[in-house]
Amino acid sequence: MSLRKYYAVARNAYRQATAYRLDAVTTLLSSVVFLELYYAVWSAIDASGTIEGGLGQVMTYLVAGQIVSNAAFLQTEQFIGYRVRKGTIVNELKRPLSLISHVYFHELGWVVFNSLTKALPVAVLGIIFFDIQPPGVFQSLYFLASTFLAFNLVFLLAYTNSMLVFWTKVDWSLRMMRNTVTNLFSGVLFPLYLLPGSLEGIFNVLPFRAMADAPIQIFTGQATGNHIVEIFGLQLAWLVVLFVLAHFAWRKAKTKLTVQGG
Amino acid sequence: MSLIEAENLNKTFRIYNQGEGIKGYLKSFLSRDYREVNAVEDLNLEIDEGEIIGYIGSNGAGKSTTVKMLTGILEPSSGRIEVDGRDPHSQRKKNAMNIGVVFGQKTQLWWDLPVKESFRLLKEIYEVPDEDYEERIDRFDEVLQLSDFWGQPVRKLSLGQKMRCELAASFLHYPKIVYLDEPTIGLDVAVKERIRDFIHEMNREEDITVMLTTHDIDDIEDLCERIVVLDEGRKIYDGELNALVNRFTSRQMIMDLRDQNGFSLDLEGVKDVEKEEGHVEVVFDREVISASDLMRHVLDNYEVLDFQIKEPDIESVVKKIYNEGLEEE
Repeated sequence: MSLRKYYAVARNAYRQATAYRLDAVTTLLSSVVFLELYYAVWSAIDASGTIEGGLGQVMTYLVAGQIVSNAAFLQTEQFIGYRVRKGTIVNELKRPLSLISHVYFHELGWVVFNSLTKALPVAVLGIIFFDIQPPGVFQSLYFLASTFLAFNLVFLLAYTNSMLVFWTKVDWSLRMMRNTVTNLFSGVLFPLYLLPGSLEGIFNVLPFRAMADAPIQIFTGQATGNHIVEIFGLQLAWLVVLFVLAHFAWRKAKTKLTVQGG
Repeated sequence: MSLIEAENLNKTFRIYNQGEGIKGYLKSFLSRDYREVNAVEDLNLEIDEGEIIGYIGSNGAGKSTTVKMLTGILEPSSGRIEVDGRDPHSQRKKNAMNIGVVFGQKTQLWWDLPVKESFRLLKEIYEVPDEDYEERIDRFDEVLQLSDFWGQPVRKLSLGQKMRCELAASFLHYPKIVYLDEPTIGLDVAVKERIRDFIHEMNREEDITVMLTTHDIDDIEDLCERIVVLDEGRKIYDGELNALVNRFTSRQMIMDLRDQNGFSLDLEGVKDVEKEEGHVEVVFDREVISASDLMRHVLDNYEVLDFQIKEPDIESVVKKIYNEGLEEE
């Protein structure tokens, strides 16, 4: 198997993404607003009582959450939805690539673009304005690896979700639904370590935790040693499950393929 | 064995009925009310290496569905397809290396990137070696003149420029077969001609088999010796283009007479006589009466200033088939 063709897909996707530079600016801006807002909220909570680990840890967690979610921000539902509605999905299907690998490397190109223009600036801003302690060298490498796994999980979920396009013919709302649910359960909206024990069980059986909370814990330094190994183990386990699910979803969707427009 | 073989091919789609208004919309969520449509019905098809075959039929006749099955994109409801010895659906990726496809108005080019970036991607996907790639692009450039807009983003290209790119893209890896689904739709005459020249050259010199669906009569006349006509999913004609035209035996003779008052023809084989302003049109069956016999009779009785005989053009033949089917004559 030659990797060159996949690299070429990712490269073109990256170059295409750079045509949407304004999109990067708005995403960055909304990250800043989000963090400012949450800083105000958590400062108020901090003033009226005590937060486990203190305000600093909460902010570090939330900044890391923005880094991860910006890097792995995917619009796979729209990518596939547009092609299904216009019928141009035939162009992906006429090529000697599987659909999933085609879409995967396309999204990978976007992730590189996202990381450079949306995630990295958040990290820099966080360090300058929110007094975030930058992680050490090994910690950073683990964080990057875990974020990459998180992207893979988000991709598989998004791909599975986008197969619903074949039935619903809508895509934007499918993506919003996934985004909202993912943000809620993954740790992007609030630190999961603050959850009461009674709720934790629910979060632990869902795959979302592995999509943000996992790398975040490495970034904040809450996870060390064996705990890091456990985190990777959890992510890899979900990777297998979601991979199987994605393939099953495509096999189902394929039978619904009618190709619009003649 | 033929390069492309299809046997008893069927494709049925389910069309779900959706009621009107909000109530109907909600209801359609619950009920599975549908009807089945046969897009392609019992199709048998054999295409040999090196052929250019015209695949024609009115809108919705099942042409594109056939192409999508032959390319492996759609799975047939029943029947057998073999393309170069493979089942294109179950071995879609292997088959894809062997074929090129243009789907008329569905561009495969990267919208915001320069044209050449789309081609570089295709070069990698189809594993075309560097030196072949350069040579082929130069060759395509000669006929299709791609270098005029090679560095421009695709969104800035005209329809004709885009279609020239699409065509070059589908031939880039010198596949065994190229399927062209309405490649000339909406193009001006000059671009159409260039595209036809290109298809001819590729077919002649690289022995690439071409299957062409089109509504354009000139495409068919220029390129195809053999045509297959499809109507409502069924094949109604498969054979030489000329033979099809000859099946329609009516000819038309148009004459200018010095005095057309009192003109009448009572001959066997004359089907219709119409007097127009300044000339007379006679429709006759040349199986029954030859043009020369008809003319001799007219010249003996009337003073003829000018005349011409109209052969049926393919356009009128095709129109007739679409409208009435083949049984009429």
